[in-house]
Amino acid sequence: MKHMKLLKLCCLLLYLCLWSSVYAQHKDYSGIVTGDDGTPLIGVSVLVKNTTNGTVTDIDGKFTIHAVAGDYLVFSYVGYETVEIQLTNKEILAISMNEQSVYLNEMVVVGYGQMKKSDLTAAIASVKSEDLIKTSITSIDQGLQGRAAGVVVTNISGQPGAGTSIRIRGTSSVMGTNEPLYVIDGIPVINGGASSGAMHSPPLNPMALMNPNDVESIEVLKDASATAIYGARGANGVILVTTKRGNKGKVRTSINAYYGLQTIAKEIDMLNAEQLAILGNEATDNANIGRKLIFADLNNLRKRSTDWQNEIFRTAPIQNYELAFSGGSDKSVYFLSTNFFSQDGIILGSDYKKGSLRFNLDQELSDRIKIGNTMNVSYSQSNGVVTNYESAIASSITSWAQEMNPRLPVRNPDGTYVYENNLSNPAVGNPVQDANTYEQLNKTLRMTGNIYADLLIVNGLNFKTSIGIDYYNVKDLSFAPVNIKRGEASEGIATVGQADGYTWVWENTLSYNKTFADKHSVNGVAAITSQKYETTPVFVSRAGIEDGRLGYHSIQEGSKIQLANTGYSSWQMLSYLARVNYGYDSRYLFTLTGRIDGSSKFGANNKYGFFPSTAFAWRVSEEAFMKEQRTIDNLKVRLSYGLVGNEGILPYSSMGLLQGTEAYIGTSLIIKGQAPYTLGNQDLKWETTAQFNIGFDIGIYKGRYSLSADYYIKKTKDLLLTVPTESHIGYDVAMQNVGNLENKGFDFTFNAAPIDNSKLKWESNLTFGLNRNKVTNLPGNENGISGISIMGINYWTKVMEGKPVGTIYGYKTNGVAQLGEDLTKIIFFPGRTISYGDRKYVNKEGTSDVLNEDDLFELGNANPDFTYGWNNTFSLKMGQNKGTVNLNLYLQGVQGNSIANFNLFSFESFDGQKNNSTAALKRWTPEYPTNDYPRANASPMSNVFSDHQVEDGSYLRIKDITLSYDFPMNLTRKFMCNALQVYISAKNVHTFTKYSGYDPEVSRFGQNNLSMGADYGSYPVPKLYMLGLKMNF
Amino acid sequence: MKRTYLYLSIWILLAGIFSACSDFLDEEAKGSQVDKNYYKTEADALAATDAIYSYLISDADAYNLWSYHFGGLFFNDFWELPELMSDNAVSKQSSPEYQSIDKFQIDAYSIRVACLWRDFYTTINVCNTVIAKVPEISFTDEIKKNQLIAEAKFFRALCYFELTRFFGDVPLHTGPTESVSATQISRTPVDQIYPVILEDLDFAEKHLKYEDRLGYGRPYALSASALLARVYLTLGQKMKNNTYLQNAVEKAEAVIPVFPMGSYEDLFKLENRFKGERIWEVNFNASLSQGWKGNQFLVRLLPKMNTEKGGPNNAHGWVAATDDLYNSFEPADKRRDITLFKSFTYTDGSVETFDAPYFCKYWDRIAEPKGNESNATFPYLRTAEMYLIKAEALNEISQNPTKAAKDALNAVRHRAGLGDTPANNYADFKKAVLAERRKEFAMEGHRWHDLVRMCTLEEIKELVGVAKPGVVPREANYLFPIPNNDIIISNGRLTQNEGY
Repeated sequence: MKHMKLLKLCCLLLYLCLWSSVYAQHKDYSGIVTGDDGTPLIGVSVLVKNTTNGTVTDIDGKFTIHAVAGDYLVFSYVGYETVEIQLTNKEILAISMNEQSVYLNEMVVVGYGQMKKSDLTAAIASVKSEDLIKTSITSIDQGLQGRAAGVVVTNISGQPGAGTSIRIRGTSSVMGTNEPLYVIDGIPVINGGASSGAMHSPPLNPMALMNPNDVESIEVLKDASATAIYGARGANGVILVTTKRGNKGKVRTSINAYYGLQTIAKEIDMLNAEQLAILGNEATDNANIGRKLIFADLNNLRKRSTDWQNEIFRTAPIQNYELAFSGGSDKSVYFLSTNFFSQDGIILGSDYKKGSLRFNLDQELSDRIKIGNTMNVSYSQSNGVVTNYESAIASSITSWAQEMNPRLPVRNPDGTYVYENNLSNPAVGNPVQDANTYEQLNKTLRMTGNIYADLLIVNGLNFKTSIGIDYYNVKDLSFAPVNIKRGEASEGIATVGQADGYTWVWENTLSYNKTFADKHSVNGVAAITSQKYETTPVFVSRAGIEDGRLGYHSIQEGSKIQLANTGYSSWQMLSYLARVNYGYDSRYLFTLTGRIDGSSKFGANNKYGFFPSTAFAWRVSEEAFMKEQRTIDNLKVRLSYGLVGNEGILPYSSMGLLQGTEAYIGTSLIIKGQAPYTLGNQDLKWETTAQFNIGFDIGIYKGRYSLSADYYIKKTKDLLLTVPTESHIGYDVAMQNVGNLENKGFDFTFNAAPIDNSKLKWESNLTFGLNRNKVTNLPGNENGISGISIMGINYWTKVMEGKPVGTIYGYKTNGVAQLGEDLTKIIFFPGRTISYGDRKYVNKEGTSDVLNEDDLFELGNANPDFTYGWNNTFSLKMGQNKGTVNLNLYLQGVQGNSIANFNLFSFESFDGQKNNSTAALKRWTPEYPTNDYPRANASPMSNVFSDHQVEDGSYLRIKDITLSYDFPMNLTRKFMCNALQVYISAKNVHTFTKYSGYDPEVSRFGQNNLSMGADYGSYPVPKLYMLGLKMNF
Repeated sequence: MKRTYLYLSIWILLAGIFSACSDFLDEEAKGSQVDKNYYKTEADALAATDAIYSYLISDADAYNLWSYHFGGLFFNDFWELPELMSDNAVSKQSSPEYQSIDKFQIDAYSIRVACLWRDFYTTINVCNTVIAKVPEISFTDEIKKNQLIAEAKFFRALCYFELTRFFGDVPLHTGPTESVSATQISRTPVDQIYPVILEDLDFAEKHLKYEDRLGYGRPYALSASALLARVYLTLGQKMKNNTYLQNAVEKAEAVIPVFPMGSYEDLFKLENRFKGERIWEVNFNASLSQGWKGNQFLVRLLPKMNTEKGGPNNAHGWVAATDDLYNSFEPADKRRDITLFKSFTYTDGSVETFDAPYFCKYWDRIAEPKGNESNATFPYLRTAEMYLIKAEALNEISQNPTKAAKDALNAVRHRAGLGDTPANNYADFKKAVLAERRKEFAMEGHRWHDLVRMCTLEEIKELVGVAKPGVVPREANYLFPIPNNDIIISNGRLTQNEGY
């Protein structure tokens, strides 16, 4: 009995103990989290360490969580230093979080790793997501324009989905590629038009298939120390794109949507019907030819004129919707996003639609093993019009609109389209009919992704293996029915092209990170990577399609086989790389990298190359003597030197290839043959660029003002050139490594926060880049290497020793032959006679007495003198619970480049055979003896390219004005979200330029270096006004 | 630590795997043949030889109409340049390229000349490839093997012959180009080139006898003989060598009986291709082609007419005849209206008169009423020339028109509906042969070569002065200029012809 009582007591005590221990174990801890200025922080993740037990702070910064004394609570919040506290019995907590010293502790992605910005020895520009999306209309590379010093981004065309051409620190190659290497989440992706060759417009941009809002940051690696780790592909710089990953804690949802309208920024002033008739009559009179009947009745012509440009341009909508989820627990984080984008083009009949889906996951399997993936799938569909394409007669739809006789209506009284122009033979077709009837469809599917596994071997030593894949499948379909002008010669023609390609990359990386004795920090990386690319394009075209109703869906209706081709291209790379970073006391930093690249593209004698680099940085601000003053809180001096390569040529260039031929015997026998096509070169190797960089970074007043500046010299040797050969050897060109070129320049980035108080904030960023390019050696090519011929003119640009790539050459005008001059004394072209009112040209001293290619002068350079971007953001807090108003103003400009405006040959033909611009009103007549423009002439001589067609392409553009309003917390709560922003925005608002064409930012030949700066039949870049909203939950 | 070793050894193993895959970096051009792996079998030899015919009409970029490398030798200006640079034809295009040829003001920058030079040499390289590689291939039939080599030699000789006629001394390549440095040679004197030409044609004469590969655009053994006749005549006249002239006569006589002349009217009809008088012709075909491989005769030569009323399509009228050429035909000459026309009657009866006489010789109006791309072949060698070679050579040997010479000349005249030639002495007869050639071969690429071979500069100036008043040929015009590009690239190793 006594035992029973004791037992009961014990049980009771035990029970009480247990109960109280249980009770004591799980308590409600609550508190408030504030920033260092006392304001409550909302949405801070509060997690019990090593569990999934977590919550977030509410709009008052308060939280409550069930935990046990002795547990660790982890508070984490973007932009703030993570706080960890150990729970005691105290149940009410007050947590204060400090903003991260963003500047110094910012992590920057470098090749094969990440480093703190303060530890960098290399020249790297970093662009954050918020800045990128402001001007990434269709693709992320547009967003880089003017944001990174020394990086020149040019939109090739305004066609929806078109790409850009990017130059980092100048043009380093002539025949090899000049585009930087794009590495997306560690995968070197396929750049350059992923195209089947069937479209007659610039190839679509693979970067467009990424959703700009998925991007966390972009790093541009500029100097050799940063790019040498990419070895044979680092010579043009490297663009590292990192996409968003999840975060621990509660799921964050974000919604972004915008809707906008685009319009053409500028139209060219063309003549009206009456003015053209007067010009036409004058032209035929001057050529002693009978007048055209269509120009006879001036009274009638006065009545109506069609504005053909207006007919093909339209106001076009653009819209974008996206949804993203980011969340995770202690062990795994994920990011999931989906996006739909649609842009109609400002030219009729063109548009671009895209949908994409992304899933990024990081999962810890144990405390040593982590796995993860990145995956993006996008699909786009685009209808195009013909631009940037030339054949014997004008082919671009913008050229057609400019040539059309304003007297002609778009449609006949019976409703059918007017078929073609009536001013000349051959004539261009009705551009409205062409835009609406000619079909040109592109469908692209792209999948980019990787999976990785990361093993922690011992403390500080990691092994990571990752396999990345970039796959695309492009299909181009086009059809020109027999009843439109474009289909006339071939009697209806359909083409179908398809190209699928993939690249896989397998990387195995070992990385080591340790600090010894608190003073010596060592960080090392070693890796082996292999990569393969393969594509198999198919191309079919048939002409003679009488019944056009089925179009390209039934290409077999075509009676004439034009082409049925398949192809194959592949290359492989195998590389070994290593990098060591050593820092002494965080003051002296050294970096050494080396990479061995083997590429299948090079000749058997030269398959491997070695690319080393070294860098040193001195953090002056960490020295004892600097710690005494308070103004300068960061000062670093950097020095680097290294070798990088460029292997961007087509595969099989080192081999002597044969080509299939076709000929005919008798009336019906086709004989096929194989003939020598290219001259092999077993010594072919990559181009090598040696780059030296010196720079400094300085920050004052706690980083409110900072400046980063670099000076560099890049010398490229063994340029890959298809060198013109003496044609008697049976080949016009041979691919060889000859030649040197040089780029020198400097770039700087200046960041300032001049006003930063509790009410108003003003941040300003300025980037500036200046580059000078020169070909220092071009053996065997004293006459230069010509660029691509436009309108029969092949002398307008040449690559010449002693001059920059992109130099423009032509004749120099010398006024106009006026009445009273002695025509026999004027030196002119052989076989031609000069009349009064014709342009005169300068005959160079010491050359023959006729005008020929010895009389060409250097007229300008397609490279700019300098480029810049200036961004200003103003934020005004409207008061307690009244939200914030922001204004963003972004200017971007390019200065000192020349443009070869080939459109002028059409606008100023003065022959009455096409419509001309209002410059025709200033033409020479005996009564108006100008020296600027020649006379009207119905049979003029062929085009002479001169300084009259070379214009200053400098411009300053207001790229973005955005006014936005951030709703205050009390209102956002009504929408059940954490943050809500609405904005209106205007892009490409105004361009200050002297250029007479549609847009000074054009490139007829896209990324081709041999023909930079030409404008002919390009699709202009539009102005855009939009309305949008962003919500975060 | 064990685990560390495990991981490290995995990594080392991977490194090992990769370095073992040394052929991972080998290139495999699955889409093209590679010269190292080709020329091994009979089929390869056939393909290599058949490639020559493609280069006669198109070049490396045969599917890109606007490419500089689209057209081949006979597609481009080969047959047009000697007519423009003479008293036969004028250029109706405003471009200085053709105007300068028309007015004897040609210069080294001319793109037409550069294309001509290039067209010859790309064809020569293809021929040289066959001549070098085919002998090493084993064939079941030696006759077939020699046939292929003979075809290549025929065309190589043709190209070098024409090159020397146009340019004088030219670089001589007898093997295929393997590298740039190996081919940096100078202009070879013509005396060293002629033996190669003659040897090649002798070989061709002997070995063009494989039945399945004769005619229809491929040369016969007698085609080589006919070309030899032309070569011997040219060399004989140039060097005043009677042996060569005698050889020319013999070769011509060997050919004449086998290829009888028919009516001039029928000669250019499409249905008479590969027959009769045609000894060797260049075969074009618009309908079978992938891309554009019809010839350009009608596009260049026919004037622009009203297509709706029955005129031909895509006619540009880039070249017209001189009035002098038109007037040089006697009224009874059947050839005048077959060669030239001054007006055209449409289907509705209306008549369009042109601003100049135009060449309609190649237009078979019944077979190809719409003109444009034509299937007509280019008659490079035909019997009428054999007669006229015989006449010229015999006159030259005897310094007097022998009966045989007169018979030869008259054969051509009779066919054209004319009577016997009145010429009775050396000089008159020579002029008569020259004049006959002009009328017989208008727009067949002979005129300028005839003027150079048979006339002094004064005589040429006089003839051209009548047809094209104000145009004055120069001494330099006896040869075409070497393309400036090649001279500049060679850094002076290649010299220019005098006067350019």
